Amino acid sequence: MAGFILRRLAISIPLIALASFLVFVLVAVSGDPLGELRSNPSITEAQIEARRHELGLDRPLMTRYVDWATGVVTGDFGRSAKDNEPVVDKLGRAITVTLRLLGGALSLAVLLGVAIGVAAALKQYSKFDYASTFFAFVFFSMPVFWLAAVLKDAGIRINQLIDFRLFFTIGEKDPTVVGGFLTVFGDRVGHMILPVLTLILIQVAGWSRYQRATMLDVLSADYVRTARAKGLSPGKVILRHTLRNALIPIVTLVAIDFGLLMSGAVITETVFAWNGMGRLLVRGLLDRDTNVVQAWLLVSAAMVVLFNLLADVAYGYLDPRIRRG
Amino acid sequence: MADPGPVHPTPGGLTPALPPPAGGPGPSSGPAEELVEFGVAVRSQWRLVLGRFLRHRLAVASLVVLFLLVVIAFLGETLSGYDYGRPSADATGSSLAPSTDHWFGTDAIGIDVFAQVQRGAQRSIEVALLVALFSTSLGALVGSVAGYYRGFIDAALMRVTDLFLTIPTLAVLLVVANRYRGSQANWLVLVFVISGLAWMPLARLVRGVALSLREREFVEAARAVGASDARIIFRHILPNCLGPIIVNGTLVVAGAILTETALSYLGFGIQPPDVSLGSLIGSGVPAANTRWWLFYPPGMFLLLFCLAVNFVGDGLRDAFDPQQSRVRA
Amino acid sequence: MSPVLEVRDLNVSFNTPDGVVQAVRGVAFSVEEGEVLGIVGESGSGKSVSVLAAMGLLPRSARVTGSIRYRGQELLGLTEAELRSLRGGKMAMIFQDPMTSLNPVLTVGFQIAEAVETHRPGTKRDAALAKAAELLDLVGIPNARERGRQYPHEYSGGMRQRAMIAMAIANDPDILIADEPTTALDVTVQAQILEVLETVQEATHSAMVLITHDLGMVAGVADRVSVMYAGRVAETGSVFDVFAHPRHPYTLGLLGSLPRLDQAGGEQLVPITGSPPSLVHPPPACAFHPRCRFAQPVCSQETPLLRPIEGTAQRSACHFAEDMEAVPTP
Repeated sequence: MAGFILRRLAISIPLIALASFLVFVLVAVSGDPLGELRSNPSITEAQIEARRHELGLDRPLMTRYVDWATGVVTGDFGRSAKDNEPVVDKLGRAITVTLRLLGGALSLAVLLGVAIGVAAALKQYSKFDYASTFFAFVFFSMPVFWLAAVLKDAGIRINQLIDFRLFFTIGEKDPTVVGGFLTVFGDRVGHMILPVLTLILIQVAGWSRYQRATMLDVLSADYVRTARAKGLSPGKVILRHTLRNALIPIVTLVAIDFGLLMSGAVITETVFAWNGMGRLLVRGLLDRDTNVVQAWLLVSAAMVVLFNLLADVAYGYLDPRIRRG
Repeated sequence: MADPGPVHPTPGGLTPALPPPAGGPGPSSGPAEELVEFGVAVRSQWRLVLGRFLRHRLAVASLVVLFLLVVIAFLGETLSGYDYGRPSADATGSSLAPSTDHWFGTDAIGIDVFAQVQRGAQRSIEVALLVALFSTSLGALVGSVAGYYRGFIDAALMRVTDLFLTIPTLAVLLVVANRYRGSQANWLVLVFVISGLAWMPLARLVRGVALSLREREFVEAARAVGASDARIIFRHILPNCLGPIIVNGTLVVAGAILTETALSYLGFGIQPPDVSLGSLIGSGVPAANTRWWLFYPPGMFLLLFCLAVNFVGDGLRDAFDPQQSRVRA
Repeated sequence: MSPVLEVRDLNVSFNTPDGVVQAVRGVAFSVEEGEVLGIVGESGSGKSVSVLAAMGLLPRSARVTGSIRYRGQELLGLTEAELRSLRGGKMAMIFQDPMTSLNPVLTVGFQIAEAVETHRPGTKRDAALAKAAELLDLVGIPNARERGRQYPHEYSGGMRQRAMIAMAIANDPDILIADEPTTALDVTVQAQILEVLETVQEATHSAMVLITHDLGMVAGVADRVSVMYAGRVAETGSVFDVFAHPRHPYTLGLLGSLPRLDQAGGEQLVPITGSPPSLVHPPPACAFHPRCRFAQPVCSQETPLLRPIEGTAQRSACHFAEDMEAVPTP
C-alpha cells in the first residue's frame, strides 16, 4: 500500500512540472501585459520598451520560463504588476478563503450524494426515488451562476420578510466581527451557508444519480447472491457486501469532477463577492497581471493533481485489486 | 457540476456512461445490438430505438418543449416586434415591469427584455450546437482511430486524452477569452476552445466500442475484401457507435451552453452589444431583488432548455441501450 | 426414511413486460440422504429456477406455488428469517460463475469465516478463520492459511470455485446444491472440481443436487437423474436406467446427439430438430411434441403426467413411454 502511494506521488511531481510549463506558455501567448500601455497615446515607444525590459519580456520564452519556475520552487511567484505585492501573499489569502468553500461543499456533497443515491437504490421506484430523480435532473441542468444569484436573492427576500439578517449574502466574512474563536467561527460559517448550498445542490444532483445506478448494479451482483445464499441477514448483506463495493466508482467520479467543483466555486465566489480565488483570477485577467494568472493556474493545477492523488489513495484503500498496480 | 464543463456531461450525468472500473458493478453502454452489415439491419434497429424513445413520455414532452424554445429563439424580432439592441421604438420608458406590450418588460435603457432573451438564447444555442458538432466529431474520430489501430497509436492518443482531461476548463477558457475581450469574433474562438476541451469523454467511449468491434468477423471480412482502414472505420465501426455518439452529443449541448453562459456571465463570453443568456443574467443579478424581470426570465429559459436537453438525452440513452435500473418517467 | 429434499407440484412464474414466463410447471423430484441427484436440461428448462425456489433466492417478482419439503418441513411459506437459518447452514448452494460469485473487496478466508459465524453465533473471529483454513485445505487449496488472507482476484477460476465449495460445506450441510458448477471453467479444471465435489460429499455425507447440461458429468457422478424440459420433468430414474433405457423421446434425443467413444464410428449424430420453446407461450399439452419424432395427435391434446413405468424403477412423462423399450438406444 505504501509502495502504491509512493508510486502515485512520483508520477504527480513531473505532472505538475509539465503543467507549469504549459501554463506558462498559455499565459504568455494569450495576453499582452503591456496592452494597456500600448493603447495609451500619451506613452511613447521608448517608455513601452523600457517597461518591457523592466519586466524581462524581451528575453526568450525558455529563459523566462526557467526563471519563473526556479522562483516558484523556492516559493517566489513574482510580484503583482498592479500593486507590486508578492503574488504568494495574494494567493495565500485567496486560497484560505476558497478552501473553506471547497472543503465544506465537497465533504457535504459527497456525504449527501452517496446517502441519497444509496437510499434511492434501496427503495427503487418509491416516491423518494422518483422525487430525488426529478430534483437531480433539475439541479443538474442548473447554471451555477444563476442558482447562486437566485439563492442570494432568496436570502435577501427572506431577510426583508422577517426583518432580520438571517442570511449573509455579501462576502465571506464580516470584518467588524471580533471576539473569541466561536464568534468568528459563527460569522464565517454564516457567510458560507448560501454559497456552499449552491455548490452542494448541483454536485449532489449528479453524484446521487451515479451512486444510485452503481448501487443498483452492486445489488444485483453475483457475490450479493452468494452472500444471501450463505444465510446472511439483509442488513449484513447490505452493509458488508454492497456499501464498500458501491463506494469505489464514486471515488473516481469525485476525482474527475474536482476540477468542475473548483470552477463552480470560482463562479459562486463572484456572485457572493467573496475575496477568494475567483476574484483573484478575474481581477488578474482584467488587469493583465501575468504573474498572478500564472501562479493561479499553476496552483489550481497542483490542487487538481493532489486531489486526484488523494482519490487514488482512497481508491486503493477501498479496492484491493489495484493495490499492486 | 454541469456548467463550466461540457467536458463531463455524462459522468456527472444521470446514469453513468463512465463504467465503474471495479467493485463488481458494471453498467455500460454497449454497442448497438444489431450490426450494420448490409444496410438491412439498420432500419429495424432504428425503429426499435424510436419505439423505445417514444415510450418515454417525459423525453418526448421535453423534445417538444425543446423544439418550441429553439423556434422562439430563432424567430427573432418577428415574435415580439422589438429590437434587442435598441430601446423600443415606442419609447415608452425604461425599467418597465412586464405588460402586454412588453412581455418581459424593459431594461434600464428601454430595450425590450423579451427581444433580448430571444437574441441571447439564439446566440447561446448557436454556440452550444456548434460545440456539440465539433467536439462530437473530434471525439468520435480520435476514439475510433485509437480503438481500431490499438497499440502505440491507441496509447499515444489516450495519453493525450488523459492530459486534456486534467485541464481546468473554466480557467483556461477565461485566459484565452481574455485575449479576445472586446472583439466580436470572441464567440468563434470560444466555440473552438470549448470544443477542444469537450471531446474527451466521447473519445473514451467510442474507443471502447471500437476495441470490441474490431474483433468481430465483419471487420475481418471487410479487410479480406480489401477495404481500406478509413473505409472500415467510417462505414463499419462508426455507424455502430452511433448510439453513444448521439447521446453524448445531446448531453454536450447542455454542458456547452452552461459553459458559454458562465463565461458570458463573467464578461468574457459573448461581447456587447451582442447578448447571451449569460450576459443578460449577469446584468440582471444586481437588479434581481428590485426588477426581477431582468434576472429570472433569461435564467428560466436557460434552465428549461438544459432540463429539456437532459431529459431528451436520458431518453435517448435508454432508447439505445435499455437497462432495468432506470427510473421510468 | 424421508428424503432430504422433496419437491412436489412446483410452479414458478414471473411477470415480465413480454408476458408471464412460466419457468417451472408442475415439477417434482426428491433427493435421499447421501445420494447425488443430477438435474439435466437445456437453458430455460427451469432447472436453476427450481432449486433457487427451494433456497428461497428467487426475486420478489416470482410467484411460487407447490410444495418443497426439507426433511419433511415445508419451506414455502416460511418466513425469511426461518429460511435464512437453513440457507448456508443445512442447505447450501454453489453457483455457476466463480469469477463473480466472490466479493472482490473481502478476503477469501473472511468470506468463508462469515458462513461459519452466521450459523454458529458466538464463534470468535479467530476460530472462524481457522475453520476457514481447514475447509480450504479440504478442498485442495495449498497453503490454506496464507491463501485465506488473499483476495479473490489472486485466485484462479478453479481455485475460486473450490473456495465457493469450501464456503458451502462450512456448516456441514445436509444437502448441497451445485448449479452448473463447472460450466464456466476450463475442461481440465472441470474434472478437478468434480473430484473436489466428490471428496466433499464423501466427507460430509450430504446429499447433492447437481445441475448441468453435461450428460457425461451426470453419468459419472450422479446416482439418479431427472431430465427437465420446458419447465417440466420429462423423465427420472437411476442414472443407469435412464441412460441405458431412456423412456422419453427428449432423453433419447439428448443421448443420440452425443458422440460416443464406444461406438464403431461412422454413425451419424442425430440432433433434436427445432428450437427451444417459448416459456411465455409453451406448446399445449406435451411441450416437446413439436420436436418429437414419435408425436401423435394425443400429444398435443393431453398433457402427459410424470408416472411410474411398469417393470422399471423409472418415471416418465410421455404417453408412449412403455413403447420406448422397443426403440434402440443410440
